[in-house]
Amino acid sequence: MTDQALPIIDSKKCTVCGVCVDICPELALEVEDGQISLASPKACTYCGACEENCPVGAVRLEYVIRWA
Amino acid sequence: MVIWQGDPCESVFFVISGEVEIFKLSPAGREQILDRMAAGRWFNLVPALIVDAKNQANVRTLIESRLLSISRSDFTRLLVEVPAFGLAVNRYFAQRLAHMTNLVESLSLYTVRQRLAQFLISQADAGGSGGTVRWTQSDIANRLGTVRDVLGRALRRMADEGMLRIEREKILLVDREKLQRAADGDE
Repeated sequence: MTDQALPIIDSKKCTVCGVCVDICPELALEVEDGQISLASPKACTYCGACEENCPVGAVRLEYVIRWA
Repeated sequence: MVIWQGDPCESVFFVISGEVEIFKLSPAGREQILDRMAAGRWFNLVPALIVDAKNQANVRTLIESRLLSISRSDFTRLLVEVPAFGLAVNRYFAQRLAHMTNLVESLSLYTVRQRLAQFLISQADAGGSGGTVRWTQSDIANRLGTVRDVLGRALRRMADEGMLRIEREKILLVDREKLQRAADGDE
């Protein structure tokens, strides 16, 4: 696993529609045992495509806001 | 979930620890976050003081939280019998009224770009002392009364203009002067 922040997938909200798997430009997500899994966490660039395209808001990419 | 909008009001709540989020839902399911409340804050006071009132918003915990629940009848009795408690609750109402007035002003008078700049400055200046400091772009959109893709475009535009950098897990504000001008609509 990586220490970097990763998308958080809410399995209660997720309908396993697969949109995030298809949209991820780094192919970091997979459907595994009927659930979305971040199969390649190191590949994730935190681009936000999965969160932006999830139709049920099941993916969270969290940010802290601060002065540089 | 702590309470649902539209259910009969049975209690007022005090946040002992943790954090809750107050939000409303439109018939289409769109959220408007009204506020987040950390330790020391009350919620559900308004319907508790109106006869047969219903909860006016939804409340959910954001992290593991301890809440004190006081029934409507006990709350009313405390207000009548303990003047210092009544005064504290009145002061609290005054603060809430000021907050809601600011929210109405923000939603009705300012563009998404202005609201976003104001929000970013206030969050960065608060430095995370106000409870949860982790926001998703959807959270910010709900807070500002807009939708995720509009918020995403506004953020990217600010990044392109050198006001901020979006990094993994961080929105880093770079240029206070430019952000303040965006917040003031003075560009």
